[in-house]
Parts: sequence; structure tokens; C-alpha cells
Amino acid sequence: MAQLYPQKNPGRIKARRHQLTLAKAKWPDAPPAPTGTQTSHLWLALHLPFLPLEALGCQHKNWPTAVYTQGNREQQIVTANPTAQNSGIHTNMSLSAARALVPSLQAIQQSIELEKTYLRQLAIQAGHWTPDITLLEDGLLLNIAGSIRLFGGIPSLVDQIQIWIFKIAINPCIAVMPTAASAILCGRSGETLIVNSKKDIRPAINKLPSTHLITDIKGRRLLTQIGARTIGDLLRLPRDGLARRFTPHLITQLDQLVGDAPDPQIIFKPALKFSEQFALDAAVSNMTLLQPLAYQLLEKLCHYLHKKHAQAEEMQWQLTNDRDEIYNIPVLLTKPNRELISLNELSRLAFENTQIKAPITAIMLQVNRFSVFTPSSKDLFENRTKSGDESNSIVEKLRNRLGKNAVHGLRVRADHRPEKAWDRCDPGQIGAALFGGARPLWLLETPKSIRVSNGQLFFGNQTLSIQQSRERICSGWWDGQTVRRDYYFAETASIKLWIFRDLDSGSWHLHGIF
Amino acid sequence: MTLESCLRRQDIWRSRRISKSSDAVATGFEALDHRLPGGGWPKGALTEILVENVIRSPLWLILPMLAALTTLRSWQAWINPPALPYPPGLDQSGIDLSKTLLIETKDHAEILWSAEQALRSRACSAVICWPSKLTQTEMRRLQLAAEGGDTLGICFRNKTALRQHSMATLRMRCYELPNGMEIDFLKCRGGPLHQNISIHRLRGNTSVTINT
Repeated sequence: MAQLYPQKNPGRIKARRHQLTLAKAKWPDAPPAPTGTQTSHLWLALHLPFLPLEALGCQHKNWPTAVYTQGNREQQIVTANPTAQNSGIHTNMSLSAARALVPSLQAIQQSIELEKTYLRQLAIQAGHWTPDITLLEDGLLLNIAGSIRLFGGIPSLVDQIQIWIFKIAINPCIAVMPTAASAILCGRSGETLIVNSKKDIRPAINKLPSTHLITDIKGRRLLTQIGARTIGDLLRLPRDGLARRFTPHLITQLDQLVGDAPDPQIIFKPALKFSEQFALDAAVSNMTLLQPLAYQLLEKLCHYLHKKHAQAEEMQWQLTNDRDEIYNIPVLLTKPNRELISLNELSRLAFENTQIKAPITAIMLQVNRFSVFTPSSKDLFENRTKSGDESNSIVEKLRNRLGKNAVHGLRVRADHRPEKAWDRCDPGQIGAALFGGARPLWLLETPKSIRVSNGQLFFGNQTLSIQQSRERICSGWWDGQTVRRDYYFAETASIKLWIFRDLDSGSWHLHGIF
Repeated sequence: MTLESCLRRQDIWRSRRISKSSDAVATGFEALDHRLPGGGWPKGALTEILVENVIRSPLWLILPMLAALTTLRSWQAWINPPALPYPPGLDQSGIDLSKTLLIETKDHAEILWSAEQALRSRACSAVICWPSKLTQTEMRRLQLAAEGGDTLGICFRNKTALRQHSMATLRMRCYELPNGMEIDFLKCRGGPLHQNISIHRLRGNTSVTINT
């Protein structure tokens, strides 16, 4: 069953409705498809007839403007805006002829690159309605089958897309068809219609001129010779004869039109990227005044992350001051995050840690790395997940305020040399198994030399008594930091110490306190 | 408010009534456990320990408590220690190093800030800090943070702070002895101020005992 735009744009629709009723009358046998059929494919082709103009940013409606391309021999008009068309300029006209016709014509060379970029931007915006988007040469192809229910039915969804595209494009054309090829065809023919059942494809496309399918000059000549002026004519002809006269590819194309042959589409997947900035009207020298702006940028980020089903892994602020110096303020995240409140809190701490020399004129938020958001299932009665969040958040908080190098975990390393038997690591890491004798609780990172006088060791003014047991540590010949020491336990009247005698120099040193 | 609810409060001192309470963690030293109200280090409170020299802060005094608290929460924060708490030594004393957070700060304000955050976060089972100086209000902030986060806070300070009034729940002064420590209570919420408590370093599997 062919549906039509219900309310909006009655003028555009009326003529088409008439045609379709006729088409329907011709095919009385076609049973009406149930409304709201759930199919996995329903294609919405968005055709932009003035794409070359729009991509170049020519929005002047009242000035004759045209886009030309360098052909083999001469420059040819690709697109002309309605004002230029009214003056008699049409596609494929040579630029010199167009200039002769309208001397005030503003002519710009076509840029395929810009058109692609423009289409990509549109595709990202259209991602609001569906993730299945294909870039065409002259528009977009959206698979809306999965989004119908979410947006309240086909008419309402098409309405929303229409409102959006009419704001930014000149005379766009929307066609909804069950096959991609027929949707593209209808879109290019300027047919604004909605067809959601495969059985109704033929009535909808029968009347379309066959030249839309066959574009080469030889093929078009043949079409006029055999009198196949419409797609319907082509569909009615014997297939083997068609394949012989034209190309076998034409048969595939016709099959794809009516949905008898598969027609896979390349889905456009935009790279995740977030970079937003505010230029401040008045320079700000107080960091706290930047907070509301930062919050707005973070809101945008979170909105983006929700839409992309992603989380931020690496995030950075960039502040520019009035001397054009740039401050990079990274926000340290221990795990991917997309919560507005915690991101705002971490940013605030990172800002507090930053000293600015001159007033800030611009603020920018960048996210360099993303990860896929995998929602964790939460236990109804479990509180532990919450404490896990807390434990991460305290490390994040401390690191953002104090700097990454201020917060560490400790672990044991497998090395005999006491000063190398440990290192700082990321919090929560597990080190090597321990070996060796008793070790002190405090270690002096640089050993302190011990005064020797009259064969007695002195710690301050107190004499040291050494216990007999000793531990010889000779190690490190492989990395040039050789250690050859005898370690002893020693005591003053009140404290226990860990001291060593260097076997090379014979000098005594204090290394640890128990 | 009933009488029972009144008596359940921590800040109401009842003479000669020291009961084992869930709001305290055993110190691991019998002499100390007997004299502390609740039978151990007060949880959700700040304890101030004054020592001769902070570089020789008696870690062995708090290690049994740290080992006991390990499983409770994710971290144990060490803020600005005067020397390196030596990981192999801590490991031998039963500390879980993977839960240790070593926080090294640049200035006094950062010590206070990170101590307050760690105490309040409910992610740390214990917070040990070495602030160089503490005003009365700063100490009160830390005490309130410890109460708010139900975290055990230990604050090692030089004996020069003796004259200062303290907001901590428990305040003690330590004198070094050949094989242990003598402790005077200077302030003890909910308990009498015991003097000259002598405690000995633990023997056994902890390596801290080195004499034969």
C-alpha cells in the first residue's frame, strides 16, 4: 500500500496522490499490506538537487549563481540556482553560453571534496534518526526500518527528517521505498513518496523515465529505438533479450529495484571525535568564572557520548589567554567515564591545579580517545559496585588535583638490592613475591653515612651495638649499579636500625629504621 | 530520645565502663587495648600520635591495625610520609601493598586537602598522614572528615605540638624504649587519661623483632 505524506506540504503531494491512485487502480489484485509492517529494510533516500551549490556555501537565492565543472573541451554548468534557472540557464550548458545569457552570473568551480565533506556532516546530523546511513553522490540513503517505532511511525519520522532538511537545503526530495535502488531512483526523479511494501514498488516506479537508469548515450539511443520510455516498459520486456541488447548488469539493476536481488550498502561510520570551544567575549582571569562555560561544554560532550554510545577515555581542556599562550589541562581518568557530574568535578579539580598568567579568551574541550560504553548490570541488593566507583573516584580526584605523579601504589620488585626491591606503580597493582631476610619499615632512599670513632659506630651521639647475624648482598653487576654490602641489625638505646658496611670502601651507612 | 539512645552515643563518657565496641579496631597490643575505650583505635575518628622525631614514627604501632582493616575498603592512604615506608618491610608485616596509596604532596595545603578527601571518601579504610603543622581549625576539619567518612585517621606529629590544643578523638604521646614504647594519653574521648603505658614490640612472624 502506498502511503502519502499526510499533512505537510499539501501542494507538493497532491499531484502525486492523483498519479498513485491511478497506479493503484491498474493493479487491483495487489492485496493491501498490513500497516506498520516490520521489515528490516526501509530506505529513505534524501536527494539534494542543489548539493554542489550548498557544499560551496552559496546560499544567495536572489543572485544568479551556477557551479561549473571543467569538461573535456569546455566548462559546463553542473547546477544553477533557481534564479539562474529562471533566466534560462540549465544543466550541461557551457559556461560561456550561460555567461552570454546572464552576464551577472556568479560562477564557481565544483569541488567534489567539499561535497563529500558536506554530505558527511549531514550524515552525522542524520545519525539522530538512524545509524544506518549510506553516502550517495548527491544525497544520503537512510535505513529507517529500525527507527520507525521510536519516532512514532513512518509519517512522523519522515516529517521530522523533512523539517530538518528543508531548513538547510534547497528543494530536497525525500523518497521512502523498501529497496535501496528504488529509493535512490525515486529521490533522483524528484518523487516525494512513501512506499512501505515491496508489492507497491512496481506501481510507484513504472512511470519513471527509463533514462534515469541508463545514462550512457548509446544506451539511451537504444531505449528510444525500442520504445522503452519508462521503467515499467523495461520491466515488462523479456529479460534475456534485455540482457543481450543492453548489459547483463541492467537485469541486476532492475532486480534490485523491485527487491529480487540483494543490494548491499556501505554504511557510513563517522570517526568519533569531539572538539568544542567557546570564544569568550570578555577575557576572564578568574578560573572559577570558567566553570559555568566548562559545564556547558561538558554537557555537549555528554550528549555526544550518549548519542554515540561511547565513553571518554582521554580528555583535555585547552585554555588560550590573550597573549595567545595555550594551557593544556588534561583530565586524568582512571577508567572511561561519561557522567556529567563526575567529569565536571574532575575538571574543576584540574582547573584548581592550574596557574594562569594572563586572562583567558578561549576555552576548548577535546576528547582524544573513546571506548565503547558497556553498561554494567547492577545487583539489586549489592552495595559493593558503589564502593568500587568510590575507590576509583578518589584516585581520580587526587590525581587531578595533585598531578599524576603525586599518587602511586607501592609494590615489591624482584631484586636483591634493597633500594631496587620496590617501586611506585599505578594504585592497585600487585608486585613480585618477597624474598630475603627481615626488612625495615622505613628506608632512607639515600643511605646516610655513619660516623666511626675508636672502633665504635655512632648514630648522632648514641653508640650503636651491632648484632652478629649479617646478610651479604652482592648484586647488580649487570646494570652498572653494583652493590657489595654486608647488612647488620643495630640498636641504640631506643631504636633499631638497619645498617650496612660497603665491602669496597669499608664505610658504614644507615639504610633503614625498624 | 530515650536513655538507651543517649548511652549509645560515642561522645558520652561513662566512668569505669569500657566495652568492646564495633567502632574500634584492636591495636594488637594488649596493654593498649585494655585502656582504650572500645578496646582499640577509634574508627571514624582522628588519632593524633606525638613522637620524638617524625622520621622515626613507630609504624609498628599501627601495622596490626592496618593489617586487620585491609579487607574493609579499597585503599589505605599514606599521605606525605617523612621517608619511604619500605614495601618489603610492610609486606613482611602483613600489609596488602596493592591497597596502599602513597600520596606525595608539594605543600601543606595539599596534605590537608588530600587527607580530608581521603578521610571523607569512604574508599579508604585508614588514612595516615604527616602534616608539618596543623592549626586548630584544620585539625577539626580532619576530625569531621574522619567522622563523615567513618574512616580511621592517624596523624603523626612532632612532640612540639604538645602545647597546642587538639581536636582529635584520641591523642597520645610516645617515648621510645629499648624494646617498645611508653605511651601517655593526653586526650581520650570516653576514657580516662592513662599514663606510662609500656608496650612491647611484637615477636613472632613479624620481622620487626630482630633481637635473639
